[in-house]
Amino acid sequence: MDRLEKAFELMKKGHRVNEIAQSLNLSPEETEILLLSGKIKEISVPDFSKKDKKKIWNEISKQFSTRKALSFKARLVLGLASLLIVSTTVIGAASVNSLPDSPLYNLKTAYLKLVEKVAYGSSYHKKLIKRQIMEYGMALKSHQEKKDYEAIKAIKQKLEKSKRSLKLLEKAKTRRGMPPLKDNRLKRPVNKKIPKIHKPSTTQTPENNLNNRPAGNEEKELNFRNKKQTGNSNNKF
Amino acid sequence: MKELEEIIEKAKNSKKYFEKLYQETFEMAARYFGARVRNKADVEDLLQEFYLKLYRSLKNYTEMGSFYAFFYSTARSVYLDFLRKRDFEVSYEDLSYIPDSRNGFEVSENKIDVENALTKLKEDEREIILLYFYDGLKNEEIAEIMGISLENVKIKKHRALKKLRSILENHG
Repeated sequence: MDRLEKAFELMKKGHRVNEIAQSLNLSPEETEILLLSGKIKEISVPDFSKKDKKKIWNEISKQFSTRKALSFKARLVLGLASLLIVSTTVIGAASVNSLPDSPLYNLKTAYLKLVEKVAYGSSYHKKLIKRQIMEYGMALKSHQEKKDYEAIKAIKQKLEKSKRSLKLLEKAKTRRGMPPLKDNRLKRPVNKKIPKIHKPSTTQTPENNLNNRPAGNEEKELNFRNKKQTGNSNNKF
Repeated sequence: MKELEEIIEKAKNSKKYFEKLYQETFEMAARYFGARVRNKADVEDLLQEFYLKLYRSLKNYTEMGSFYAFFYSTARSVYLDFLRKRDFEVSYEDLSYIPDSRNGFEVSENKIDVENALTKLKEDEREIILLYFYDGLKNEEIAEIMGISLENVKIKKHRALKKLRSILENHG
């Protein structure tokens, strides 16, 4: 094999086959192989003129501007942005129909909170809350069937909260340019003091005479009367 | 060679020098693709694809390696992509139809026999034969391009030549 290799190298340098065969003392088989390898060099290929060459170059240079390779940084940013968009879409699509008792619901809640912040106050925000109310309703039904009282209590609270948010959004619509009203009910301190029983006065005065009260306060009157009746049996009127 | 190295270095950042590199290496690339893909239109497409790829990957070429190994590795990858696009359904036999003068080929009976015989070889055997005898590369460069050992290149080359000889004897 080494002899043939030497022969090939000599042939590449331009030596004739007969000379090489003689100098290296090649066998007839080896000489034939050497002759054959010489023919391989002569196989025909398509011919390209100067015009063809220029035409090909023009096509190549056109594509330089259209097919600009992106730098590593650009590819990294593009890749991360694509990944973010795809993962958000996938998470959204996967969790959008999950109910509160589904394991995907936490993911959905986080996703919806993000959307809420972005779409705050818009009609899309209202749609989201309405959908939330509907889902809480469905979850409540299923927990009522299962008689899971703790879950029922938790879902009811969430449902009430969503309904209040929707009411606030609807009220805020009428208050243009102003931020929606804050619902501070849950933040109000619980009044643990027992109120003192109010002792009505035994004498009738123009202020406490029911007949002198101005029109339009019938409801308040009824409440006042009821209070008086329960509070004191000595009420003369 | 020094002049070529200077052009290569400048061509990494300059289209003007890349065009010079194109002028210097066009014959090599045309011979490479012409010997493997016998249709002139396909060879033109491959040449375009090859030079675009070379332009993009030239920044990765360092003077430590052989430029010819780099050049032919890039050409081979473009050629293999071309074969893959055709799903390897089209064999070398189909690609290398008998050439005639209408297609810009010079015709000779002896050459046709060798070209036909080459179609009967395996792809890697044919590639080694063409790279060594037709493109004039060294065994070491072929080993780098094909990703095989030097010894393997020599063994495959000898086997392929023996096969070629027996094919020509049987059909001759």
